[in-house]
Amino acid sequence: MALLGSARPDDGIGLLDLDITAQPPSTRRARTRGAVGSLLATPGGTIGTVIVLGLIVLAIFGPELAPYSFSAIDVNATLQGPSLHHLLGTDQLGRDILSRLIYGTRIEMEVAVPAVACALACGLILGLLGGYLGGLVDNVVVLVTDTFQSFPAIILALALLVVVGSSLRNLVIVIAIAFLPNYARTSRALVLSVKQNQYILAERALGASRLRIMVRHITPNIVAPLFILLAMDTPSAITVEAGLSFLGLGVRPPNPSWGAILSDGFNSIYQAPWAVLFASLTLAIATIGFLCFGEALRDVLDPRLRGVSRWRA
Amino acid sequence: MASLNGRPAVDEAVLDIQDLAVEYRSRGSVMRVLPGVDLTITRGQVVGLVGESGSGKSTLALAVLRLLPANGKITAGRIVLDGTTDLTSISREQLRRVRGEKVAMIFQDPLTSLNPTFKIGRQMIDVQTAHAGGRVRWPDRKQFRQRAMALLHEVGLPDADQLMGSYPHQLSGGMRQRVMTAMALSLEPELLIADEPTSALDVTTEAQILGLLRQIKASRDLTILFVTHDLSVVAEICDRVVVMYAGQVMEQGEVADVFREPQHPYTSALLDAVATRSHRGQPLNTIPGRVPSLIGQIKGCRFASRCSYAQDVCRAEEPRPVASGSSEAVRCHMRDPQSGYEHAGLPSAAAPKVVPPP
Repeated sequence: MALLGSARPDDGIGLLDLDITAQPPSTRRARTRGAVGSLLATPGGTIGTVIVLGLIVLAIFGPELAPYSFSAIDVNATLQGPSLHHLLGTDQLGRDILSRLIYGTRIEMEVAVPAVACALACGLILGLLGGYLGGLVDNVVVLVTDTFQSFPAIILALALLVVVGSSLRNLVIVIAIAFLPNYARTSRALVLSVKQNQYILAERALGASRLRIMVRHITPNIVAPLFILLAMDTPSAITVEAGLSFLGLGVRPPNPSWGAILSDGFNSIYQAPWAVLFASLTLAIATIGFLCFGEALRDVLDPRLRGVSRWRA
Repeated sequence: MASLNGRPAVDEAVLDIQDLAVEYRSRGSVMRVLPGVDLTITRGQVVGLVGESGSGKSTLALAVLRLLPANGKITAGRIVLDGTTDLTSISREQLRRVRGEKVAMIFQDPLTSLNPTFKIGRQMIDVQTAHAGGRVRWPDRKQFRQRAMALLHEVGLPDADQLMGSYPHQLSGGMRQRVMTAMALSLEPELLIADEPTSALDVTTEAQILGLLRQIKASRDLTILFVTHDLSVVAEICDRVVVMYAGQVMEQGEVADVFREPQHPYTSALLDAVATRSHRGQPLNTIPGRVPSLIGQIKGCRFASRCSYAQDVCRAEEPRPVASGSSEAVRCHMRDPQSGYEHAGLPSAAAPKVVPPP
């Protein structure tokens, strides 16, 4: 940039009228590029955004896009391999796997995303209270989260589901509870480090209330790492849902969650591995997509990284 | 105290700290950082609070607004603001109102004193909304914004419009300290506590910030408590100086008087340790030893272990503050006519011209 600028013979910038408040070109470009532009600035960001947007489109327009109904049984074409009629093959009841995966996307989006979002919101509140207020509140938060975290997520979800009964809403709540401790602990740790910063002391010295400091001053400083966690946990929530469906406690048949497709396909894995293969592949692609998207999102949300391109730096 | 100096005691005290004691507790041990400090800050003055690291000067500054870290506790004493409000006993909400509106504070490190996720404008407006009470409507916000811009102008940042849209990391250290100052002034406090506001800045910027503080003080009739370890900064900006050592006020008085004829051996030693041109080519003077540990009780004068004039009495009894020479209060047995040790060990060069009490 600088070279181009100085190569122009008369660009009107003399030594004396240097604008000292002018920002470096990269910052300026980042500002004009906007949030969407920065999200797409890296290959990972582009891949992640495309995958996540694709999943959202599939979730919304699934029924229109799917070639067959998720429950259309074709007993003449069971356990088929990929063909022009059934791009990803069929399962043991002759249902089109592609269509079931597409319909399944909506269920995953209805379960995994709200569950993880709930976990983030509740965990953030607990973490803020515990980390900032300290003392007794903190002890309670740590006790509760440690107790919950001593169970593996899927075992905890399993136990809770058995107690409350399985429905889509309960599934969301149970997965949220299973993931909540992770968010509470992470946000608590982040709060503990952020609250040591001098600007928190400065805000207190200027008469900011505790609520204002927690909500307005600490939260923006800790959401960036939490978003990474959110993006990483969305696929694991899908996995937990898949696991629960696999065990018969999640989504009821014939509804096609990815876990249910995996579980159905597992029974006939030797005759026709297609269901397991493609369901796992979808899960893997979704995982990669959410991870890349989360990472790009963090870079966009964190103003300290704004305008800094990892590829140039 | 003022009457001792021959002046009428009519000066109004903005802040009157009486016998303030602060302790830090950590597992098993108690550090009595401030054993009982008395300090009066008169309206319209710039009071310099000096001392080496660990002398308790920052603790005192933080204790005024009850901003001590979680393990710090005010165990005794009163902090009286405007002769009416005792800051040690008011409720959380009242205290929140005092912070910013009556007493504001700026800090040492301007690089970390601003929230990195906020633009300057939002941060400047946020301070005002925090004190506006209740819901803030749009016309107010517009007014807050104009006020923020005016303040940025006042602290010498002309391009306020662009600045309001900048993030802290896009600003230099000096600019950030100016922004901090503008934020601190936005609620028109009576007292500004500046905790080493220039220590992290280079000398040129330091001079600019000092000039700014002096100018603001004059234009706004502000009282400033200036915490620093830099005596040349005190000479530059302060009216009065308070010398602290190991949590105690050792000497206080008008800057010109104290610096010309320091009454306490510690003040003299501090002044001797300042690098000057006349010392060129010679090694710098230092004070041997270090600040005593504040865990447990200290017997006698706190400076005795490092004082080259220390007598037996210094190690046995704690000196009381007395007026001596042009200093208003000195904690030294050798300045106390009743101790029987007056001038016992001090060389004549450091000894004061004896001023008869009025």
